[in-house]
Amino acid sequence: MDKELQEIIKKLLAEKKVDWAIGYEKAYDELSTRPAFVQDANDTARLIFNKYCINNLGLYLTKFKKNKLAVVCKGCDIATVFELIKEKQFSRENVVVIGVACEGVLDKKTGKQLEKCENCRVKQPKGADFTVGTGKDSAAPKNFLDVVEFEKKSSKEKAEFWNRQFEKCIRCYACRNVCPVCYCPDCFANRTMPEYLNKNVDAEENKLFHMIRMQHVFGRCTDCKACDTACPVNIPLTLLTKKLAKDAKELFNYESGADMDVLPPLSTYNEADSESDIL
Amino acid sequence: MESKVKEINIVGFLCNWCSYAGADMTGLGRNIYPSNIKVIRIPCTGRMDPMMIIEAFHNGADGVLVSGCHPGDCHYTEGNFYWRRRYPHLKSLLEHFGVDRRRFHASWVSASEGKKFAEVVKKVYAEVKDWKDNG
Ligand code: SF4
Ligand code: SF4
Repeated sequence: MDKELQEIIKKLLAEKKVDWAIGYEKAYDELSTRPAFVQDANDTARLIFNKYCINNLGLYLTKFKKNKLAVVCKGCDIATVFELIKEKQFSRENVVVIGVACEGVLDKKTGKQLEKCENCRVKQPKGADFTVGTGKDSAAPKNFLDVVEFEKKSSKEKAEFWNRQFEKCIRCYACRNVCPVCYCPDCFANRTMPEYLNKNVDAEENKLFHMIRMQHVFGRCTDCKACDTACPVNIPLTLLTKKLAKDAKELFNYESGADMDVLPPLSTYNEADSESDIL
Repeated sequence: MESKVKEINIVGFLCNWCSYAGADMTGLGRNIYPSNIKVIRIPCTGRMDPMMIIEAFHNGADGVLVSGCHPGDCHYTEGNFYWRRRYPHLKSLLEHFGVDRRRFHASWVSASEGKKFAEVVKKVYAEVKDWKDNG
């Protein structure tokens, strides 16, 4: 499979169809991989794909805006690429999507498969320009059981839960920085005039940061788990991103990155939208 | 001082063209409503940045009301249609973070509906008070 992947990329680079290819390479040990940026057709031998390729390389689209790119994508990462194209952050012509069939990726800390892989319906990537390998999709759709369970708590319990969690947060911004749809060069968290967010790191300010960030990625977040995986203090960000996915689906029947022709839910409206809760 | 601490604070974001004028009308018509609402005028509910609502709760507001023109009557034609999408999502997200549903409301009040504005504020006040008293 690696060979096939390398050959495709080699050809693309040799024929100057792309300036850069972004894939995975082995990092410091057997269980670690990292993004690899390849420019030279003779340098493709280091590209690999395995179950530790956890990064969502769609992240780099907004960082290489002026280049033609080939990007190695798991089925789930393709949603990110499509979402960014929809948001006009990158043009479809400038990106060659190389889909890799995936059996699910593992968190190397725990050795367990990521939760998102359990009911994955894109193990066989969809919408890619090239596809390497064949994967078997899950029959069951994504479920929101943990979110539904959490929603049963009272608002007081919810607030207490998050306050506890955000006491741990060191506001390293890793979650924001790895998020492919958090691409604003002028993030509200950095702004000083006006200062939306106090630069003090305490539970309340941390919570404010997360509330605003979650609002900003609503209907755009593909629930890729990059933020959840990056967090050094294990804050269950997945409980937030899954909530976003659930709401987008339930309120607006929207799934991020799924359909190229449908606009993100907050970028549009329908005159027949519900207003049951408006006084 | 004691009573001041317990006082309920509601931030009202009212659109310039309908609800703000509606609130004026309420006063003109001598309608009585809870004075706990502090009004901030916004150009349109379409301009209602969710960030400001989140900030209001963060800074200690007990409740927030956003009010604009009825659908179809927006001064900018479609601002309130965008708002109508942001509202349910934001309410649900805030609830997920532990901001009780009773604390956040939206309404349509036109410039002539002074009476309705008083009713809306009473309703919002009752909900926020219920949350504050009963948790
Ligand atoms: S990655 Fe974790 S610790 Fe860092 S800012 Fe995000 S939630 Fe906080
Ligand atoms: S799961 Fe996290 S990193 Fe991925 S798109 Fe959503 S917010 Fe961004």
